Amino acid sequence: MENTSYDNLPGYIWMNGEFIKWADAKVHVINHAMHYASSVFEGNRAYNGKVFKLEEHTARLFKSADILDMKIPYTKGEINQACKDILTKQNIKSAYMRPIVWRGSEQMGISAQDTKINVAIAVWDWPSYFSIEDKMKGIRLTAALYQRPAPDTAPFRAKAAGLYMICTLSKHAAEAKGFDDALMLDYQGNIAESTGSNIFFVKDGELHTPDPYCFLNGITRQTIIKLAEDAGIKVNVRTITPDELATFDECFLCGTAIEIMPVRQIDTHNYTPSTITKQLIEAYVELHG
Amino acid sequence: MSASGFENKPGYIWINGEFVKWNESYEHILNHAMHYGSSVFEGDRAYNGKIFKLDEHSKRLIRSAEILGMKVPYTADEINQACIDTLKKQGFTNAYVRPYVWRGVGDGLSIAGDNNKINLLIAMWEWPSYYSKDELMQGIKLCFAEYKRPSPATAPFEAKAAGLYVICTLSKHKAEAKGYSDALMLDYRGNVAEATSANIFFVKDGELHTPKADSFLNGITRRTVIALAKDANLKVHEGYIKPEELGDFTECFLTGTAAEITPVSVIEDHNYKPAAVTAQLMDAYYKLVGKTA
Repeated sequence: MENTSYDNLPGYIWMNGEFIKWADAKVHVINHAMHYASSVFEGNRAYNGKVFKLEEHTARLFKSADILDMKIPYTKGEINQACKDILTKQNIKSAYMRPIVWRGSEQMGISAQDTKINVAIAVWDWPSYFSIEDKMKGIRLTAALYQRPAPDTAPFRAKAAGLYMICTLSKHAAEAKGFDDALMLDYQGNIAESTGSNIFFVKDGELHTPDPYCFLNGITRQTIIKLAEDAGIKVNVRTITPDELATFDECFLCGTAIEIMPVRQIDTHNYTPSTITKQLIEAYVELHG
Repeated sequence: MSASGFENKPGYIWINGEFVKWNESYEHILNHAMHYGSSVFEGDRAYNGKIFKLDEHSKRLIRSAEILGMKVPYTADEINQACIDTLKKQGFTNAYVRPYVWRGVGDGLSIAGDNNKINLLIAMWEWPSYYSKDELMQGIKLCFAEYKRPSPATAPFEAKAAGLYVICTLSKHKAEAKGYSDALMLDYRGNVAEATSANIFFVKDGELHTPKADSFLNGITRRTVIALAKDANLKVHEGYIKPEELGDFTECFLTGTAAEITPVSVIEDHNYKPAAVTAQLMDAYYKLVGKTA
């Protein structure tokens, strides 16, 4: 049987400037990131051997690290190049790429100003799992266990490991109930996002999406807004309350990993993925190549 | 890779039932905990070869893991025994004990991690008394924290989870940069909550006042100090304390396994004079834990 455990895949992981054999790419169990969640990451995709929106992702990685008070010991140009190099080294055309920045093992306490800042980039195969026709059937969401925290209680503009704890909990609970994912509200009770992707709704041919005042303004989210505007579709970025869920015709999630994923149900509300969703999926596929 | 700091200590770490050489205790970089904050921990202290409140800490570890949807594959008794065994193996008398549970590697790396292995380790390092009581009585200085404790609807606050410490590290760094020792965090409602990793108490007219622990961890040392105060016939008020009330108190101290009882002399423009009540509780605490200075 083929070993698919992620500690033992073939090839290499880029770690602090070197290619380390995948199985040897390890960290000491007493490192600050594992004990105090001092890490930030990215999720990139490569299509046909090219990393999509690489500069945007790398720029956000630096911003996330900066928000967590970590200075990455490389330039953005060096990280971009490292991403390209590991993709070439692994010889994967269609890939998911995971750059991660973390505090090392030099200090073990809340304060960690003197820890070394490390960077690793792992990349693995990520084919297109579903055809557009399959996707158009849509996935099912349920209300999440947790709400997105208030901006004065969480560094929400950072793609930080610690912010995903409530996402894992909410996603597990949703899956246990037979749903694909969970819809998170924000601390004020407005619609926010799913556990790992932003959300869009369609009503009367226009798009509606929550204002990202307390969650990550995704790179795919920004791409879709641009694609919609280019296609002459009006985009309403605004506060959306749960009461409004019944008023929308279409709904979809978006993120680097899931791209554009139609939603057919949010608890008692049903949606029919239709022309606008399909048009944007096609435009997105055309854009990333 | 050069080994440094906590990467290269002598002795062993107890990992999933075995003693692994400290400098061979590695985990793959694609473990779930590093990428998605799926880990919980404890901080115990051993005094004179005995781990204080061991069973309470082990039970809280299991409870924290459960809140994060992780089933620790050991009982509290087994964890207790592993802590005792590791302390003996390391030959320490005064030590900091770090039990740690994390979601490990799986057949993928994404937000859901139901199939990833749940691991437990117990590491410890020597922890002498850094300061004498007289030095501690000088008090430390706190400023207001950059972040507030999140609301219960947005964070699993009853778990001692790594992910909840991100804002603590950020707040503590900022405090240190301003010349303070630590930061006083308010809660999401704006009430006084705690320091970045220790609970807080105030003294007024010989009575104790401490914030109600309904959005932050109700520390084991916090509960111990409340019990000690009651034993000494000191009245303890648990309730909501507003920042405007900070000027009303005469003494202030922090509590925690690492901090024990640490007197506070300044919170922003408020001054406190660590005095009789704080000193009395420090003595009682040292006596209880078996600390010999």
